[in-house]
Order: sequence, then C-alpha cells, then structure tokens
Amino acid sequence: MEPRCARRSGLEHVRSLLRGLDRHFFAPASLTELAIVRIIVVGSQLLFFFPSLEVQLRLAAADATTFEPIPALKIMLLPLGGWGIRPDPTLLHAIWLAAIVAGVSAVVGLYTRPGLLVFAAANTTLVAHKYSYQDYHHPEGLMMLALWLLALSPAGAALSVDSLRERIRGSVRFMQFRSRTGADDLSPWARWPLRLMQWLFVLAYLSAGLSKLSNGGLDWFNGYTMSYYFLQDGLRNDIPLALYLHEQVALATMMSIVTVLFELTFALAILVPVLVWPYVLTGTLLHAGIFFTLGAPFFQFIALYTVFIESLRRPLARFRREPVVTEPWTVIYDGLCPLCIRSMVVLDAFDLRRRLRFVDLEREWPAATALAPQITPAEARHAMHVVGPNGTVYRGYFAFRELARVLPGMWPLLPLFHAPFADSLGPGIYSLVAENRGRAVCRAETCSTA
Amino acid sequence: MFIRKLVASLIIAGVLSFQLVALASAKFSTGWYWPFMAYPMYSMPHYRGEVFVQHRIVGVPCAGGEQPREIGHADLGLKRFAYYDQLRRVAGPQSAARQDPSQLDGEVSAAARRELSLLMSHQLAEPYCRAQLWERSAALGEPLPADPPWKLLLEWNPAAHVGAGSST
Repeated sequence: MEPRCARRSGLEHVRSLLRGLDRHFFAPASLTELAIVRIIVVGSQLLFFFPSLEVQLRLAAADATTFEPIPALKIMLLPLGGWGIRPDPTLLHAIWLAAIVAGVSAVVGLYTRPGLLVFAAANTTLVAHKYSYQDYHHPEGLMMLALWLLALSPAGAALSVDSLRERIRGSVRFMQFRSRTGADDLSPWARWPLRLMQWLFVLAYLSAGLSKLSNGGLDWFNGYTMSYYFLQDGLRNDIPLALYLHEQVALATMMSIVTVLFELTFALAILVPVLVWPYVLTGTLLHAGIFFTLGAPFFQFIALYTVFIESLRRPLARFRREPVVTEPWTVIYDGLCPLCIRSMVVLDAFDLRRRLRFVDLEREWPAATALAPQITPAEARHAMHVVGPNGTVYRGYFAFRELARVLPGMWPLLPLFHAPFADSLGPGIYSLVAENRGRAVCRAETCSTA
Repeated sequence: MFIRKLVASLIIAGVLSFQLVALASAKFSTGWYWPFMAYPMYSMPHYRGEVFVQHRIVGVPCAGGEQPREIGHADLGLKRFAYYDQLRRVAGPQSAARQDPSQLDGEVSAAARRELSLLMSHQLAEPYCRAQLWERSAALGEPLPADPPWKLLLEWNPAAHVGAGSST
C-alpha cells in the first residue's frame, strides 16, 4: 500500500475508533435511569455504608504518631486548614452532619448538584481520615468514585425536586404546559458516568484476578488456596460455614476457577449486554458468599451494580406484561392560570405510567366539550375537571382525590383524602384557593374571551 | 457542547488512567492513593499440609478474684493484622506455624513480648500480673476437629517485662 493510502487508512481507523468511543460514552441515554442510580447509590451510602462518627472521633483521639494522612485527606482538608492537617473532633462532627444533610438533599433531588458534591466530598474526607492511621480497606473506593461522578453528571435532571421546579418555572414563564415525552428523558450526558463506573468495575475485578494469577499462577486453583482462606477466616471470625467449606477441596477448586474467570472476563458484561444479568447475579453471589464465609463486606459493590441499569432493564421489558389498553384519564385545566399549570406539571411528574391526558380548556375547548359536554366554560375555568375512562366527571377537590387513587406516586396522600371530614372540608378549601388564584387573560398568540 | 464533551472525556481518561496505574504499580497496593487502588486480596497461594496458626492473648488481672479475659486488638489500639503479626512474633520458635528464620530467633520473640507488655501497660486500664499466649493450629488437608483446642504456649508477667526495658 502506498504511504499516502496507508496514512489515510490509519486515519480512518482512528476516526472510526473515536466515533465508536463517542457512541460508547455519549450516545443519548435515559436521565431517569441515571436518576435511579443516584437515588440507589446515595441512598445506600446514607443508610447502610455511612461512616461511623464514633470511629471518626476515636481515631481523632488516637496517638498523633499513628496519623499519616493519605493524599486524598490532604486534598480534601486543604481548603479547611492546610496541607496535612489532622481534623479535630469538631470538624469531623461538622463534616459528618453536612454529609447527612447533603445526602438527603441529593436523594430527593433538591439542589442536587451541590448536594452531591458536598456528599461526595464529606464521605471522601471521612473515609480518607479513617485510612490515615496506617490501615486501609477496599470496599469504599469504588463507591467514592461513583459519588463524585454522579456529582459531575446531570443526575438531578429527573426524579428530583429540582427538575420539577425547573419544569414549573418554564411552563409558567411561557404560560404553556406540555406533557413529558420519551425524547425529554434522553441526554448525551447521562451515559458517560455510568459507563465510566462500569469500566472501573472491570479494572477492579481485573486487578483481583491478575493478582491471583501473578502471585499464585495455576497453584491458586489447587483448591487448598481457597481452603486456607476459609480455614483462616473461619477460625478467626468463628464462621462454621467457612470451616465446613475448608474441607471441601474439590468444591474450593471449582469456586477458585469460577472466581478468577468472573474477575478476568467481567468486561463482557459491558461489551455483550445480554450477559449483564449472569455477571451481576454471579457478582452478587460472590460478594454475599465472601461476606458469609470470610467476613469481608463488599456490599457497596452490589449496590453499585445499578450502574448497569440500562442493560439490566432491557431484558425485563420482554417479561413485562403488555398493559391492558385503557382509555386515559383526561384532565381539563385552565391554561391561563399559573397555579393550574403548576398543578399539571406536578401531576405529569407523578404520572409514571402515562395514564393522563391533559386538555387546556382555552386552547382545546372542542376536545373538552366532546369528552364532557355537560361542563360549561365558566365551570371549567372555576375548577379542574377529570373525566374517567367510563365518562364519569370529577370536579375540583374530588378530581384531585380521584387522581390520587389513579397515580401510584400520589397514594401516600390517599389517607388525607379519606380522613374524617375530608369530604366536607376539602371542597371548601379547594374553592377558597380557586377563587383567589391569579389568572392571565390573554396569551400572546390568542386572546380568548375572559 | 464540544467543551463539555472534552471535559467529560478528560475526566474519563484521567480516572481510567489512574486506575490502570493502580493495577500496575506496587505503590498503589499500599492504599496510599486511595480510592485508586489495586485489589490483591486473597491472592497468595497455599498448599496441602500448610499449617494455619491462630493466637490469642489472655490477661489475668492483678486484682484478686478477677477472671482472666481475652485481650483483643482493639484493647491494645492495634489494627487487626498488626495484632496477629505481633502475637506471631511473640510465639516465635515455640509456634507450630512454618516460620521464616527471623521468627525462629528467640531474641525476636523476647523483644516482641516486651513490646506487647508495654502496650498492655499503656493501653489497658487495669494492671495484669500474668499474660498468656494461646495458640491453636490446623493443617490444610487434615480433618478439622469441631472446635480445635487451644494450647498454652507462653506465660509471663507483663509488669516484669516493662521494668526490664522496651527497646527491640
């Protein structure tokens, strides 16, 4: 091949590789799935893996000669007092509390990005502090990286108070409500943090598998290696299951092979998405098994398997029952009323199963009339109306009560709607709000009769 | 869009690079560069006939009538593996474990015993007049009794060792 052709061919390969990488990391992905990962990862760190304040304070009181701050701690504390400082109990307490507040904020999605950043920073500081006393362990590393990556991603763009407020703001600003579509959920920035976490998993497992091969070679699979670890941790931690397994050398041989094969081939979970379930299930069993036999807790890894959410959900769609086609519930609302528009945005957010259809009485009056001919424009402007699939019309407070029954996200409100005297007080409260709400008379493009 | 993609790409490349270096560099196996680290746990091979040895320290308080109690790593302010290592060195030549030559040296064992005695005097609230090192062992490939028995390996007066000096 002539040099020029060879160069062009080489360039084509490079371009092709870059395009492939671009698709791999930046093809549009679901913001909702990213948000689910945010909720599960942050939620699990808050509930199950949160650093113990007691341990932090005990370390802070330990002999100063044992304190050897690792670089991560030095970096995190640099803005708070200088390079290599040792945090005092007051500072640790403040960081611990800030982590809790930030974590809750990040889970519900209120000021999500600052919340995630503070949560990541606080957890990193606390764990790095724990590891600055000549001792370290492995379970938290990937989780900390995941928290930082979520903080840098649009993890708050869905399933969050922030996204709801943003939609309300936009809808009221333009005095126009538009129901969410599937296209609204896709973003080229939703994929890369999850992909990066997936590859970090691959590298972590690869490290484990290659260490076994380089330190032990084929001897690692002799059955006695795993048997020794069962014996060691079974005796140290008083684990009868481990002591039983230590005598099952043939089984230990098989488990050794499965373990290393899993660790060395984990990349297939990314490259061949149909294999993700077997790998995630095997990994879950592996980590659960490591805990119950060797006492080594790697539950963070199990929680982090949610980063494979896209590939995990795809096969489940095949097993999902086809929804019975039903007529939607139609919500007739006043499109010139900012409060009504806000309410529609909230209802739309709760409508995860897309059971609602929204009709703006000002722009779509013919459609509203066709559904509920008995409603007059004045009545429709005075209160929200909901028309059920069977044609039943619900008005005002009762319309909201019916929607609370229909939308699973609103089920926690049902006890309120069925509390004693709710049916007496509810309509009154609704009327009070309806009579005092603001209303724009005209939009820019149309002016309907007020 | 381009700038944002460039920044994201740099983050991806940076994080993956750090983690790849963690795989390759021995420095990362110490945990110093946490959260970027290698994962070499349980990677050393073991063989049939190899003996696993477990130690524990039991202290007998000086106060009359007090029951002997096991002294764990947390009591001495030691990390778990540092505690195991300390007891292994104290056991020295008398241990059933396959030891490296330095551990067969009685002086190393004596020095380790002095260190342990000092730790006990500094870390424990009450004084102990006797310290006992117990050991139990099991060989790979041999049937394991339901509750492998402990054997008393050494017994000494920690206070006497503290008074004799502490340097190794």
